Amino acid sequence: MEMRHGIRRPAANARMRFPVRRILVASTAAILALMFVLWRFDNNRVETLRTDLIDAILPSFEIGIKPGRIVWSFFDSVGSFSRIVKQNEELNRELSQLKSWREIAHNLERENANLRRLLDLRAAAEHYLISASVLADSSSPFRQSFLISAGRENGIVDGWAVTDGFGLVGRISGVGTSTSRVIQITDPNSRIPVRLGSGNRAILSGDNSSAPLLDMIERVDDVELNDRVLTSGDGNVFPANTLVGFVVKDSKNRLRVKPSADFRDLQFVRVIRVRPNERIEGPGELIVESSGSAQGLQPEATANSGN
Amino acid sequence: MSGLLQRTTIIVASIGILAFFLTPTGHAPSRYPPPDAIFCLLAAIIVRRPSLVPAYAVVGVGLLCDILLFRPLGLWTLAMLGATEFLRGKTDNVRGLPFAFEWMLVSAAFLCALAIYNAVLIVFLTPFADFSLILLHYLATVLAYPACVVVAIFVFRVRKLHPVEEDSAKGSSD
Repeated sequence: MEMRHGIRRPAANARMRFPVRRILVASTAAILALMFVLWRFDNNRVETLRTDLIDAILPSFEIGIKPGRIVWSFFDSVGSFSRIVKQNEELNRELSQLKSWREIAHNLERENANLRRLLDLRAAAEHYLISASVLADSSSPFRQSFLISAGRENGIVDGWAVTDGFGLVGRISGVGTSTSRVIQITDPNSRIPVRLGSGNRAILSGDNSSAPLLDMIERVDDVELNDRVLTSGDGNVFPANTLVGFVVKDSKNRLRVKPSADFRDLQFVRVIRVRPNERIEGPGELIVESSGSAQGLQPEATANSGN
Repeated sequence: MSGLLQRTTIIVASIGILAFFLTPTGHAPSRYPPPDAIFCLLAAIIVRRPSLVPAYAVVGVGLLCDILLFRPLGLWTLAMLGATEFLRGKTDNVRGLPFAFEWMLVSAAFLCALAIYNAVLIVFLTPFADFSLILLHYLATVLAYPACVVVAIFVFRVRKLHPVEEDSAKGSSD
């Protein structure tokens, strides 16, 4: 590269390199666009590919995530020193209250066990818990999800509920071999059927705020602030009666749910393994099919027993 | 620092930022979306020394982010590629101009990328975020840019080159 060409040299050089580079960039762009279109129209297959890729990539990311965790916890501890004294007082006060509650709970538990025995009650099909640790926070400002350290080989299945011991955190969406993704109840795509005391049903829909919105409430007038919100188990995907949180009102007077789960400090979660309910299909042996009118009634009877 | 080493450091740093975002802390949704620090860093370096961040590095880092952050595959990478290619073409114009001009240029490129990204999401009927969140994300990114420039200059030792220097740097790296 002689200097006598001076300033004009780069221009000539660039003109030589330009077309090849431009074609390469343009074709890369085309491939990316194609990738997006494929993702949009064949979502399931591409998402499966994505979970497999994450399965492969994430272990090497652990190295990067660990120092990150240390840095975060350092910031966290610096900020929390001032809060700790106040928090301690609060906790002590709460503890003294909780002690009396514990006594009550113990008594109730005993009473419950006795009553159940008396009733010979068959509780809902047993749940088992699978514990997993939180590997990575894959939420962006617009999506709320994270990855956990259990996957297909641990028996995880799409759609199962995830709790942190205090309350519902979200549901499984995307299962890899050894990792799976949890969509939080605060994610805009999350819709969960819930029950607000006394059989009042509603849909809990996430909207990126820390308290998801209560939608499609059956009887709005019956809802009271601080009501407990439980999953209703509708749709046979979620276990019923898992605590979600408590009813609160926001500044615009909309009803929301303050989650019981502690989203600020999620390290371990439990996945609730659900045995699918046995479907009750058909009228059984009780109704003898005889005339044409009975056939007309049959589908309705099936629908009712299915609920 | 040699070019190759510098290039590797920059890619590793971008992946480090991604790892930082992936670190599980505080799963409560935040009111304030964080800035797109990866875009800021890459843009700050591209405006100074385009040869240090080749297009394939932008695509690689972008795709990795898309996969791990569960974004629509490829779309943000495409938007980022477009914005960085635009900035790459403007390197000669930015050289010697005050920083405010460069800041405006990068902000405009990011705005276009963000607008196209969300427009495509709307056209393809894909769920997208609240307008207010996108706006806050944009403002955070614009405000974070000067900090990324400081990092680019003092940590990665990237400085604007004279045209002739740039040419010889290109020649030596080819």
